[in-house]
Amino acid sequence: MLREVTATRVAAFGRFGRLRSVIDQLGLLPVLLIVLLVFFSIASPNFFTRANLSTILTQALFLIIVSVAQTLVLLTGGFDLSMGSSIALVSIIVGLQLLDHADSPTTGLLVATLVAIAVATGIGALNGLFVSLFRVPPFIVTLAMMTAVSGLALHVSRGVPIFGLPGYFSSTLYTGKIFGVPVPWVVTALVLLIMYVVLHWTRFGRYWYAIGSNAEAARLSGIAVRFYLFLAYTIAGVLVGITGLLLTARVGSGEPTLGASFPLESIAAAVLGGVSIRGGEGNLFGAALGAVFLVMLRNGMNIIGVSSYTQMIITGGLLVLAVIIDNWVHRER
Amino acid sequence: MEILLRAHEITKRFPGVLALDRVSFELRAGEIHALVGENGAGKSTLVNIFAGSFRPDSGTIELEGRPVQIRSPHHAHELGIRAVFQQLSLVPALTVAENIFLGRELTAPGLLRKAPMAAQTLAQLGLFDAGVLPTARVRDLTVPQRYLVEIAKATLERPKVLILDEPTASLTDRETNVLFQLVRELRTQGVGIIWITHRLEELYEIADRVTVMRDGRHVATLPVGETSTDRLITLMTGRQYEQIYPTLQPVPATASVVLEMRDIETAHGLRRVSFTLRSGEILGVGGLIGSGKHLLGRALVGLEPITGGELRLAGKLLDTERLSPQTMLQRGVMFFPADRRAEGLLTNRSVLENMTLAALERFERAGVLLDKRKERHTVEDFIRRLAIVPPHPLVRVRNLSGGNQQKVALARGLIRDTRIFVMEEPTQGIDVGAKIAIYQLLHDLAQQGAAILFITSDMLELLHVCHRVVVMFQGELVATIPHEDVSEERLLQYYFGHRREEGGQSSVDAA
Repeated sequence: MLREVTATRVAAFGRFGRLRSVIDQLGLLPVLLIVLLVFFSIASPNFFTRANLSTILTQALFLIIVSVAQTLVLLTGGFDLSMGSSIALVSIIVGLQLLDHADSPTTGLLVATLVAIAVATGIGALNGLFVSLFRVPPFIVTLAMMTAVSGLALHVSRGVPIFGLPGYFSSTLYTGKIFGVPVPWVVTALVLLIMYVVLHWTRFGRYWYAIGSNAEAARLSGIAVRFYLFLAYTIAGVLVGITGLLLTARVGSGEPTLGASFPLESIAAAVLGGVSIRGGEGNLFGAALGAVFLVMLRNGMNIIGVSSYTQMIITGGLLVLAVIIDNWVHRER
Repeated sequence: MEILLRAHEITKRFPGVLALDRVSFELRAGEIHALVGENGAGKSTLVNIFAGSFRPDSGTIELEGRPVQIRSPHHAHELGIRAVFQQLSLVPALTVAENIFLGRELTAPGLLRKAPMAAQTLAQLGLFDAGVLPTARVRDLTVPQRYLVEIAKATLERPKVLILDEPTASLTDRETNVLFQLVRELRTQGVGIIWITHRLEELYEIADRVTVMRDGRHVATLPVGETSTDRLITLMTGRQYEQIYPTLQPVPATASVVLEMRDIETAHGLRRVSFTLRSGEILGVGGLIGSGKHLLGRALVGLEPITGGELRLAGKLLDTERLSPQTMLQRGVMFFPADRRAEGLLTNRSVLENMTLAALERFERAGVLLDKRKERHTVEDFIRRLAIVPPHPLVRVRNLSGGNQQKVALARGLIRDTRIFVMEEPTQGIDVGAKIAIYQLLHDLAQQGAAILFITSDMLELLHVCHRVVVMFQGELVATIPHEDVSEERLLQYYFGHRREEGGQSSVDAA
């Protein structure tokens, strides 16, 4: 039976059917990842070391969470460009709050966490409201939101970073450990686990896939499409808030331009990981792997001395390439 | 008669599938040659080879006695082979004239000569009597009008070979007749026409010869006069069918009214429509395209805003201003749209996800997590009961044939305890085998007490599948006819506006 199924699948893909079918199932990413590992390991002796690989993964954590958030929105057929500026605003407001609570770690951490999540969730909910209720295209909504929120972050901070955050902040949320595991690792693992369950073991996930695949069919199947769209942007906001908090702990200051490259990188990571830009296709582990790939690429290029400008060109090109592959694999005949 | 196009022992293999197995085919000049077969029989692959979309793996093609290799759709055009597929090639934002001349605009050095193009378009469209202006935007046209424009485009420069893929699927009888005339006219000019269809009854009216294909092979080529519908179905399916339509079981006299519409009006078309639907009943809804028969189903589930009248479900009055597919579904009413790919199915998701989409709460444990094992068992059960091929829950729906896709759509309603099925063109574009299965399924459902509103453009279905038939004309319900009294002539009369009170159910307004 399985062979029959495979035959049907392969036939359905037409020319280069087998290749497209394999990419469709596994993604191109594992292959690319290995190519990258081998290439940089040969190019530099400093790449394939325990320390460097650990650095790559630690750096990748933040992009992983944002990519998971982006995946959520991509699955519904939209995307969110405002995630970066949302992180910046979170960073500024968290910074200001921490200065107010410099002497009371418990209150400080609690307040910082709450405002981080509240601010980013609010922004996500606003995105969701415009997309679902007023039917404004996600591109316009989130581009406008990106600009407005970025302006707000710069306004509140007067354009300068907020320094002098209390030491307990970074030592808890960045270098702090739970059962010997650094906090960002624990948080990322929890995010992946919870979102995996939500996406694949609850109706929420099914509905998001359904809406991205065919919103009209979803509506005729009795799904409250607008509500679930709103929910996707809002939950993505929660994840962005968590990232903003952790990232601020990592850099140790409130930064008004933190995370500016995240929107594009998270879309690139998700699409490289097999999430379709047209919605209804892909999963979060692919997106997470895509994030690792991008960070590894950047790290490797740094090690072999590729300039940051060239790196930008390569990242941009990679996004276009990923979308082309996505089109090729998922094209309807 | 002169052989215009000859294909000899064409073989085409897609990875894992032998789509055409040494198929030979002949088209004479001045012939309308019907091509029939179930979905997957290889009809589309064959004509796609003629149209230049696919290249054969082996075999030869001769056009007017000369061997040719058709390299691309563009090359096919140059050779005089034009094809009109279901998927239209019109640009919605452009006008009719711009579409017809797309890629071959008349120009005076560098500039468009709009006047002669408009004039030629008008002359060309005159043949079709479709009431379309050259300056109209294609997006503003109805589906049948678009189809006629597409054919006008294909026949602007008289082709040698014209391929029509299910040309009547989206046409009403009037437009079908216009098309028949036009095609006959082309035949007298020596054009060879390949006519793919699922509607066997129309063969007798239009075709000279018919070729039957099955499983990628040529089965038979016969003059239409020497065949019959039964014979063709046997050839197509390879099975003997006593009857396509299951025997209608009467609706018990005690069956309760589950749905009642009274004087329903909508903003865009329905006028004082009243009817009742009983448990166990299959109620056919007929009428031309634009008659409001599709609006009826859509209004019922809140897709068309209702502006007046009363709607009762099992005697309970509903608030017609707050209808939505969601609330109707909760009351056991499910709508199955005609365009399954656009509105009905998640084509890139699995059979499983499609089937359980409307009933996920049934598979939740403690109201949160999905019981995937139970879900899969249920889906496998329905795959078996509906004989869905391939029988695997994780196949993507877009890889299924039209008939199997429709079965998946139906299963979505079955898994959720649906009491009223509102079906819009449920057998459109699916093969005979699948049609038979779906008729049988609908009868079984009715036997179990479900009510079915069966909206269809296929008159044979109204004649044979429904307990009662209502006919729509210009937004009004003009007739209600019980099964015993339905005839083709009678339906046609009402289709074209003849009004008469029937059976006490009709609501024709004298005013």
